[in-house]
Amino acid sequence: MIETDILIIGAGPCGLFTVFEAGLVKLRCHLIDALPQPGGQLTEIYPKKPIYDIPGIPDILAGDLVTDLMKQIEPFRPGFTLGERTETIEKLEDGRFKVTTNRGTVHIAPVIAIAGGLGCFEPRKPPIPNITDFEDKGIEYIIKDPELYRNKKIVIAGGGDSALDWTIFLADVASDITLVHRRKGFRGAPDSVEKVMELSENGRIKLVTEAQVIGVNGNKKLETVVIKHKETGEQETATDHFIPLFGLSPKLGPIADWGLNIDKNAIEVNTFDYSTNIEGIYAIGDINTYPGKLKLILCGFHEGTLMVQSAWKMLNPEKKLTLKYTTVQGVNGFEE
Amino acid sequence: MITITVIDREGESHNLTAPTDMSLNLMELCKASELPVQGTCGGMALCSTCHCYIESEHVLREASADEEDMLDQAFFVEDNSRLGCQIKLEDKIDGLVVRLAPEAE
Repeated sequence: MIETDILIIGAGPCGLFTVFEAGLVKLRCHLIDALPQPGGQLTEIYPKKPIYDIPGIPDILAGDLVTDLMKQIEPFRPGFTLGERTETIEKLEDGRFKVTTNRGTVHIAPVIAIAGGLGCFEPRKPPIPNITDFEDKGIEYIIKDPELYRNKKIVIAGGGDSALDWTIFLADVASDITLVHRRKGFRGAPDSVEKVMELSENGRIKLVTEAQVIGVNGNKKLETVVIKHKETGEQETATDHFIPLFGLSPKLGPIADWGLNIDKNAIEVNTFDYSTNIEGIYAIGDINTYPGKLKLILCGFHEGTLMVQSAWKMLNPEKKLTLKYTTVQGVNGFEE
Repeated sequence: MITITVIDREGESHNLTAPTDMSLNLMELCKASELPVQGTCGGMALCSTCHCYIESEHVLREASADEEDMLDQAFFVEDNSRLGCQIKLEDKIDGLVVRLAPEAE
């Protein structure tokens, strides 16, 4: 069980900087993120893209901004629960919240700051109506254990790096691999593309381009997939597994069921302190909405800063907080 | 100003007029016109929520590698598929007709 002052859901730039502002008023933070590393979209999607609108920093790569934020908050020793998705929240008798992840990790805090950005990243599922019937019964969106495919017939769909890399890797594991891609060309790393072409020429894999998987069939478990080729039309192919690899897309996820006011996938907040309709729960950064909202990192930093002041007042109703500048006080971190 | 026709997912046509001097893209125009286009990633060609089909004969700039990459991960992709966020609103696309692709996420 993890106890902290402010539990931040989402370790993107906004959640990370909130640790700094909280530390200045002596509040400790713990962050939960579904991704295995901090940084949110910046590290997961565009680490090599330059950002030009961080005040005072003419340009910085997204990945470097995260590295710098981690350095900036280091004195305040934040805790991290990474690679786990926030599932449930419940209010305890003492007024604090108990937040549990999909892996059962329990966190307790009087204040929750949802800094979930676009939501949690989940695999993109092909729009095949009955696809959910065969999830974990022959259809996997993420390869967890390659041994599952030992001596099996598999169909992989997708044209990106992960589709190519797994095709190459599983060529030695599975008995039969078909790779289905919508175009003739692949945009993956040139080495991988070359390797896949070679495997195809040597008859080690079947490459079906200009085609898509449009149907899945079976009884209890997956038995066949329907591949539609641009010219030759539909063909049903027997398979043990179908692995669609179409990248990740963000979903609001279980937070949508927490009783918060939600408008178009975003959490409504009061701009006075970015509080939600539930006392003690705030929402900051890209996940919130209010009149005039802009999804900018710098706005998220501002929102986190004001939110921390409000949280401090809620936790210390008798005391008065005066703003202390870092130029006067410096940064006094926590001992441990 | 240019005019662009956007056919929504119910088949209804919307004639939108837009300025060409504000470096806007088609995704932003759709959002500003309250059409059901999410534009989740903000225009970086990193999601496919602005996926649309070009229905008129206009010849657009070729899709960048980033856009092709994203279309590789999208669904319902056809030969005339594009990401709205990568279509700049400029004079040469005056009269463009696009159809919004089905939602797939």
